[in-house]
Amino acid sequence: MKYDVAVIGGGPAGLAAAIKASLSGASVILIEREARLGGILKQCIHDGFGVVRFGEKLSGPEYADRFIKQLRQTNVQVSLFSFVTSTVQDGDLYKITYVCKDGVQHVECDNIILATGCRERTRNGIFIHGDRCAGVYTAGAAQNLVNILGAVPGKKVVILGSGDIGLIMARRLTLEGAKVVGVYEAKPTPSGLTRNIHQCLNDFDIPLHLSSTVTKVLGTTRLERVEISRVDEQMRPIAGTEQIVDCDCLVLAVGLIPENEIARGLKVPLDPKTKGAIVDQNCQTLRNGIYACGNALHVNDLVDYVSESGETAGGAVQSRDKRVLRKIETEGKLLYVVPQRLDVNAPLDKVVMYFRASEELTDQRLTVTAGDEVVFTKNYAKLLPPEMERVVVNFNKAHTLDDFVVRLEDK
Amino acid sequence: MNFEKIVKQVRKKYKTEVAVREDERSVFLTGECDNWADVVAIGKMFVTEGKHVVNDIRLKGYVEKPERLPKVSDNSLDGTDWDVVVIGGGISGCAVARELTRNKLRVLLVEKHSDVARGASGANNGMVHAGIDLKHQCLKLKYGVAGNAIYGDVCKELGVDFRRSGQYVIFDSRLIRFFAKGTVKRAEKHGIPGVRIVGKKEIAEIEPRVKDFAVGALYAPSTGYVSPYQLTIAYAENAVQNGAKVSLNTAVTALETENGNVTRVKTNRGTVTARCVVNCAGVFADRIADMAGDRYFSIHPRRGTDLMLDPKAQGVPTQTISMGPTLKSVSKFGSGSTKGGGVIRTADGNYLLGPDAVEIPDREDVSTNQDSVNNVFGKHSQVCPTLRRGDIIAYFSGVRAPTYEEDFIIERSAKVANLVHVAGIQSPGITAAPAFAKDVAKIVADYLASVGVEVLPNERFDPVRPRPVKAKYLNDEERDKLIKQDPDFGKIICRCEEISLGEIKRAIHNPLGVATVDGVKRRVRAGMGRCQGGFCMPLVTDIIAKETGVDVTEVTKDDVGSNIVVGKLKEVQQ
Amino acid sequence: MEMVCIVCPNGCRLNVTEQDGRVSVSGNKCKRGETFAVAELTNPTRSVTTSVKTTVAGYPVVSVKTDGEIPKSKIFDLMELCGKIIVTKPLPIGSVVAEDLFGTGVNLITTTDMEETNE
Repeated sequence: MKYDVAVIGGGPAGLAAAIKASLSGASVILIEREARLGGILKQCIHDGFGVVRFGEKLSGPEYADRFIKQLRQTNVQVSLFSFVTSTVQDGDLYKITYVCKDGVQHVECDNIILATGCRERTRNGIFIHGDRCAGVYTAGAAQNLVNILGAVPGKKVVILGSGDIGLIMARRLTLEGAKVVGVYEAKPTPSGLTRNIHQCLNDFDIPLHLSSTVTKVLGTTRLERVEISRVDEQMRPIAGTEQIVDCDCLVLAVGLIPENEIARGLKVPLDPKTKGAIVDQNCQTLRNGIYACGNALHVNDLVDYVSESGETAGGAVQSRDKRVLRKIETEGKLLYVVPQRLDVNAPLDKVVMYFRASEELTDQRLTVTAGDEVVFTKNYAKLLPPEMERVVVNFNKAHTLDDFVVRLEDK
Repeated sequence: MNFEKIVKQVRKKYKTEVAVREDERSVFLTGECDNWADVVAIGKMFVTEGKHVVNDIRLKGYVEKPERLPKVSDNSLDGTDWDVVVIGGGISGCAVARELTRNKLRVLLVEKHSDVARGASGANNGMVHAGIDLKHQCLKLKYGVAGNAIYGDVCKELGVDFRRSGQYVIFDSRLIRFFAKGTVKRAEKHGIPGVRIVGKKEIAEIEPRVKDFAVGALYAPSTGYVSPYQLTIAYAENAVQNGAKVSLNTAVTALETENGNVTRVKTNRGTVTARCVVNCAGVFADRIADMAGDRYFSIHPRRGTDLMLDPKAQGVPTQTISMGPTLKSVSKFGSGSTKGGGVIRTADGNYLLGPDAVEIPDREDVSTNQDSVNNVFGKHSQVCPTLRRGDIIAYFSGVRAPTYEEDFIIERSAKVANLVHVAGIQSPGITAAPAFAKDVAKIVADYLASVGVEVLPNERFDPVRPRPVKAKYLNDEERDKLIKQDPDFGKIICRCEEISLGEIKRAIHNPLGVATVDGVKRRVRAGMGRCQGGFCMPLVTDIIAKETGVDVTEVTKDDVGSNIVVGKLKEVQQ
Repeated sequence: MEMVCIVCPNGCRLNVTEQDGRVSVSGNKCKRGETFAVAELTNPTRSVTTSVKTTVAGYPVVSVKTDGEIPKSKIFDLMELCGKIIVTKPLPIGSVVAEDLFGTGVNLITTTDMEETNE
């Protein structure tokens, strides 16, 4: 079969991309590796999704459901429990092979939208040493055990990482009868939204320990204890500060990494800062016809923006104009900026840009310039690395469409 | 022999008193030391030709942890009678059990963990050594070279992947390269095929990532790679296919002897009787010997840590690269050992770095620590500067079981007639096991015949263990056909390693009856990829529960008691 | 006093002062912040998300939420109630599984569509 576009991944990014591409007239196949659509939202049963887009506080499955219902109204071909095993370029076409319960399937398409989400950093990724006992889980795995399998991973739980996932799991496990003995965070400031510190920890008297991390796990069959150490400014454990905490479960909420195996296979250049593809304002990667969106592009903190980038990609695939790409440089204390390129041959009036500050900053000014011209500025009283910022820039103002720089500096 | 001179040396160097006693087989040491490295070093000083060292020097203030025993107690084996009881389900025990089933014998293998290959056999780099590092005639050399020669055939029979892709031992100086000529000569003498020296230019072409370090290399083409735990599992499964019984979660707690024979073997699952007992207990081999009143060697636990790299990592050598001796290491140890290890491409296509070697007092301490990780990474990134720390996706430790003589002990006991020791099995144990297992089976058969047991060939013996399906490696037509026969092979559960539901179901219904999350992982690699089971662990847990008809709360990671979850939602109380 | 508004992910930092029984709020980006602050001082309420058991194949549990807010003090009473509910047939998203929780008029509704394809 031949399609205009194949969307890989049926989470919030892929759903939005497929719907938008279909509405713009493209023939679309959506390939999802799980038995149900919705991606990780299926297990994110807490609320707070969709405030930007719908002005409502939806739970994850509800947010996904709105898109799934919309998708059913389109002509998108959906292939569930389907796993892409190879993607190769053949002239202007991409050939995708995937397996599902019906066998090995082959499709051809002009465009691929990568909406493959992200994966969690593991215990090994942050070098927590000690025994190999049961009871040490990433937050996502723990969340799946609780919200999908309906089982409780531990009665006495330590959570490492104060990002939103860690905080939400602290509340979730408390509601289900577990005792969360503490949330530990290596950074000197909490990583999650302030709102979640309040409603997930403070509401349930769960202590938050900053500048502390788990340095060792101990237990023969199941986890029995963890060793906690204070850390210095470089987040290195300080010898002599070790302290043993009894628990039977350690939940690791220590970061997400964009999943880009397929992108790598297609030799799509990645940005070492985002760990996702380098894209232009339409989410098109440096390889023509390959798009990346959602958490595969860069880790978002609001699903609303995941959907937004999906729609950007989905809405752009029908365009046939030749791209003229210019680099967007960054200066100052910026962790990253997406997009990293500007296609000056594509519409430039409403370019959505996402960025994160590299450290906690106050009284900052963001400036976007083209050559010597300032095309956009915005002031920020406070910027935090965990909170992604979004701006819409009109590059049509610029007279010369080159030498683009995004700069963050003291006001 | 007069040990007074050594006792004096110990006093001078380690400031401690050692008492020495000897009998016809062993030198017995007692005393006390402040640190464990000294205990081991002193033990080594007393190694003498023809004798074993039994080292009872204690570490001051150290209380040995009790052995970890399975959290099971029943009578499932009680009163049963066997021709041979094999103690230990590592590569040695499983290979021996399989070789024993070539004869019509009632064979029981007991393993205290919930699966085989849980000790050193499951935690090493899987290198099938060429044997170039072994200098003198010893059992390691004899069985290492013999084992290497038959590896391809054994793995073919047992349906296990084996890749003979050679090994480069890199030199950083011309002088070492000169010494290597001796190694080539020796290899020829020992019957190790094809060993040759590779020049600076050639090695730089073969493996450009090490060009700044290497002035040359020793190439051993017969070095190969196997998944050590999959081979161990395959041996155990083939033994079961041919009539042996494998009893897991079963630990030997005592051996009863009478008139110089083991008569009864006591376990946590009942007492059994046996005509012959084979001690393949790894780090506990000297304990088992002691249970039979036959303690004539000591095992000193040595921990090795390996690092696993993301198979998609850039900058990793595509060939197996071992660091040869350097001028510094030669002058330090006085010998140029060209050991295995290094940057290794495993049979599964992963990359491993390591191992290191650390002497530890606790036989079961397989915990990892940052020092070992740093040492291993530091050593190999020196040879290959393109390695990146961020590409480490996992690391693991295993405890090896060397004797002080650093050679295998493969013999029938001189004191307990029906006890056969397969002890001190360490590197190159994985290489050697296929060869020595045959000899051990012969020792057992000869002994049984000598005491009037009729040993007949097992006519139903089938050496072939069916190769597990690996859907990922099939071509599209084969894979399509397989999925059409069973749609489960089209449902991918582990996304990192591309493992299907069909493969996982087969792994759960294995002949050994191992239905654990790690058991599945060892058999089909589900959960071994870059997400380390973050995505598939809950799914595998659910599949195990469904396939074995148990509640999800009963599914374990590994040993009894390692349950994945502690209860159902709404049912947990603190 | 200082307070963090939890109504939406913005998490506005509120400055709340009470004088002669009148509450004044600043720092809020929208009106909901003011409502929240007043409620937090008089009768704090929360919406709750959790799950209930089912006997439907493929769904050991199904996610639920309160369709409004209930008193914060009733959260664990609600959890106890949830423990007693068992869903026995596939329900469409938004189905009420418990009505009028604690006399608040708030219902407990499902948030996953169990009728979606499931293999």
